[in-house]
Amino acid sequence: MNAPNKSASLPEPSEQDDVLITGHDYDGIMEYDNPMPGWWLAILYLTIVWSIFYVAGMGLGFINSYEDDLKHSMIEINEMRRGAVAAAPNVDQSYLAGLVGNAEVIDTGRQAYAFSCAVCHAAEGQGQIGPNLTDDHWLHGGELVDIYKAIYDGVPAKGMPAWGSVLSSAENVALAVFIDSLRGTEPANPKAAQGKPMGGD
Amino acid sequence: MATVLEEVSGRPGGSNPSTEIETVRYDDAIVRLFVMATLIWGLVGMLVGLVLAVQLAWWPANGLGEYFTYGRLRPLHTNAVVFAFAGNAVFAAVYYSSQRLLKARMFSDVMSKFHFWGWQGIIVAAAITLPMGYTQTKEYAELEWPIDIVTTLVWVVFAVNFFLTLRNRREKHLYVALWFYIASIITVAVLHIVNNLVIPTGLFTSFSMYAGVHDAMIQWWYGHNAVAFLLTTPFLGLMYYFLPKAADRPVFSYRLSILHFWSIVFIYIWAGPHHLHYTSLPEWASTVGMVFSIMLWMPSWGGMINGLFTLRGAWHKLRDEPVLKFFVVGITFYGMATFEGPMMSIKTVNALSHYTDWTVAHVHAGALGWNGFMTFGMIYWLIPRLWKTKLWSTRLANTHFWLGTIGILLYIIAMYSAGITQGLMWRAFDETGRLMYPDFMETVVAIMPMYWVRVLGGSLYFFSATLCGVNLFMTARSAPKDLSDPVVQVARPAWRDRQVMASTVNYDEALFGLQDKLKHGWHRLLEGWPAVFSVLVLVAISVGSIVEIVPMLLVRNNVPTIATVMPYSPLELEGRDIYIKEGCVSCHTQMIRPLRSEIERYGEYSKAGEGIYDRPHLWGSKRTGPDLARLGGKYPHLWHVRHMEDPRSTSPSSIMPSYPWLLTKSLDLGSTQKKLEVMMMLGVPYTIDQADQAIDLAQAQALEIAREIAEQGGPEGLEDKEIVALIAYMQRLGIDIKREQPRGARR
Ligand code: HEC
Repeated sequence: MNAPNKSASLPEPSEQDDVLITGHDYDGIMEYDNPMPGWWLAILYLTIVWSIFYVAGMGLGFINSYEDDLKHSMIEINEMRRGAVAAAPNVDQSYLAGLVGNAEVIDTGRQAYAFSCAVCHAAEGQGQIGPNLTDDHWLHGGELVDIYKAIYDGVPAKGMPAWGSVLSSAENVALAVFIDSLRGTEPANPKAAQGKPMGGD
Repeated sequence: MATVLEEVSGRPGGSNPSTEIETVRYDDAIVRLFVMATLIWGLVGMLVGLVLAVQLAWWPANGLGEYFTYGRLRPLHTNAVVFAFAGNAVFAAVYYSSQRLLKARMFSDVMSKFHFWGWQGIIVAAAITLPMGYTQTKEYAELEWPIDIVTTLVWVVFAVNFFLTLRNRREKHLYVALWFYIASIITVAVLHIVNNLVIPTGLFTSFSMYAGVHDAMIQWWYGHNAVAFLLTTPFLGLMYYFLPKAADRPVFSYRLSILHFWSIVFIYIWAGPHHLHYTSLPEWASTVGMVFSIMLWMPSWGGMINGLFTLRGAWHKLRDEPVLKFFVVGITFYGMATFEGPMMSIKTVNALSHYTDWTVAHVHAGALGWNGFMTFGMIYWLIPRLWKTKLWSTRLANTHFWLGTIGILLYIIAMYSAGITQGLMWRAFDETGRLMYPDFMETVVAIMPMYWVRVLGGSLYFFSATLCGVNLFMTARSAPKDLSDPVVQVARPAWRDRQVMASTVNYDEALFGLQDKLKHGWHRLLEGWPAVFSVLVLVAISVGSIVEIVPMLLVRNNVPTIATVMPYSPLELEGRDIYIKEGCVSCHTQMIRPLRSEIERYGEYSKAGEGIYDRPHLWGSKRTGPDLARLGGKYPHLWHVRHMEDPRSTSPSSIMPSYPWLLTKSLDLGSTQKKLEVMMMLGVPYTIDQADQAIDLAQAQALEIAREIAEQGGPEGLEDKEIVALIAYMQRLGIDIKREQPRGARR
């Protein structure tokens, strides 16, 4: 760009074209009477015309509003979800029971637990902000499917987030199985029991 | 090269050219002061920026204490570089070039000095109050009301000094640089006053006169045009004077100057709403902002073209002239940024770029490239002239140029990459229709390496700028003792005596005279009438302002009300002020956009009616952390206590600063009642009883929150600490629209 007198994009000064304007001399600065570049003017007019069309299109409803776009994209995503739900196994008590003791599943659950749950339920499930998961007392039911539901839907009123849309479906399942496996592990510093004992209701 | 007859200063065609010679002494002492202030504040502002860059890459750097966390320092950085660095540079340019273009000394030395010292005083006040947490939070309008009043006063003195110098001029017609100065001075005054209208609640605290959507709209009308009329138009004026001077070439096209000046002034003011795409600002306003931004592209490029084409035939001078190098790169970045700006204002592009580091890249291409390099170019040109000796080292100036350029490139490439990466991660869905990166921190960890590259680029730029300081210092040291004002002899222009003649002409002669004047075009005529010119500028900027703002404020269905949205409780209001004081808004937005990825991640998108009690609005402009608009009820109180005390305890890789003092500092309820009363004055439906019992109400709610925290196994005795107010506020965020029934003011 700064090679002397060599510049591809910028024209060299041509003495014929450049006419100084008489009388324009400001502290030694003078001005040429050059026309505005044609392409510059052309694009300027083009953007103005485009703007008029855009505003008109918006007003007449030819261009999608935010809500239109949102609606379309939600339909798209909901279809994907329906497909995924159809393909996923139906998670019920017997499905979960079939996975109990499966080392691979428990391992997946352990990792997800460390990442997402341990901050509130403590590293070994002894409870901290959230309740103790190792005792036999449950606030929302202690069956595998109850645990799964508490994880998947959360208990927003009490501050337990819904993990259904945050973690994958495999992780949600694995978490339920993993937490079930913590029962009776008796870690140090357990939080006092909350809720009802298993089978107590 | 074309030639032209040398003319005497004064004006052509006078039938009896005056023979009277007048002596003019230019005030260069004031320019020297402004140049030095530019450099000193520039270095301070950049250093603070560097600290912020490190804080984002390495959170322990927030550990210098409560006055120096990211949230408190960020406004200090932006204010320092915008008002202190660029501001002083503009003043140096205006004071140096106007005197010479007008062939007149500044009207009043006292006013010039008052302007200089007043402005530096404002900067010092900013440097003290911002870390202390006194802030209006609106970007680039953070300074609280007492400082705003002083700023208005100083600006008015500057304007009066400038316009009276125009009146004293010995050059009939105003050169294009002066047009840009006029537009800047007028518009900044209007913007500053309208956006800073507040009702004080204390010496350094206040509530905005506008709420929610209105507040946001006016803020970004201001914010965008502060960029326009403080960082663009005066710098174009600077370019029009110093570039042809340094290149010793005539300006490429006078006609282009005219069209691009007026189109910039008219169009720029409309573009503000492009900062609020996909927010709860009505979409019509957003659309207007977008199309005017697109139309602004060519008017902006008019300046670039006139700058670069003026250099035709002078490109060889770039080899050994650092001044021109700085100018060429500065103008190139201007062209880049003014193409990118319109592009980012297109709604669909904005959906990706907004709230990410892409915006940060865009801003820094403009600030470091255009404002920084034009300033340094000007300073290197001025140093030998102001200190009447050779520049100490041209080589050092060249080194500055190259290191600075590399610094900018590293900075912006890192931020483009970070911004686009994070933007794409936020919106990514997997094949099952789930967010691909539901954990916000994943998207932060991914861009951490880029944050370190930014630290490197910023360090290079900062270091290179110190070289300019060294060069100035060394040159000034070897300057001659006598730095008296330069003196020029100017013929007293004949047109100044015109009024006397005018009374003696008859109608025919007057008509003929007008024809004669118009033969150079109507604009030429205008250039000789500064008062008319200024009024026209005011009209040009008022049109867009009025068309956008007035219907927003007056037409009610722009902000549909929601029956369940209630005013904040006294404690929540105090919590909100703590949120404002700590600058949480610099990392957290409170505005969920109507995009599926946002609804998935944060919840139902934000509605205009939810913000009617938000004075000021806290929508934010950058998501370094997640959006908080629907935070209420997401976590138990205890989670927040732990998180605020040390974010790493709940979010292991968090980069959020720790705020342990919130658990120990006593909550000050001293002005709670006053706050409710001011809110009532602004139309918020509190009852007189509520205001009278504000403290009791606040304490009762605090006690309840503290009890719940203790029950959850947290620390006891937090009921009189700041943290409970903050938690009360956070638990309130975004829950009103989920309520079924409207209820009375809470608790
Ligand atoms: C340097 C930027 C930064 C600042 C300043 C900051 N935060 Fe954060 N914040 C983050 C990041 C990053 C996260 C995500 C990781 C985490 O949870 O800590 C976060 C998360 C949060 C969350 C959790 C949100 C959720 O939905 O999980 C809350 C609440 C929060 N911040 C509140 C605050 C408050 C209140 C302040 C001011 C006192 C503040 N933050 C200041 C960066 C910041």
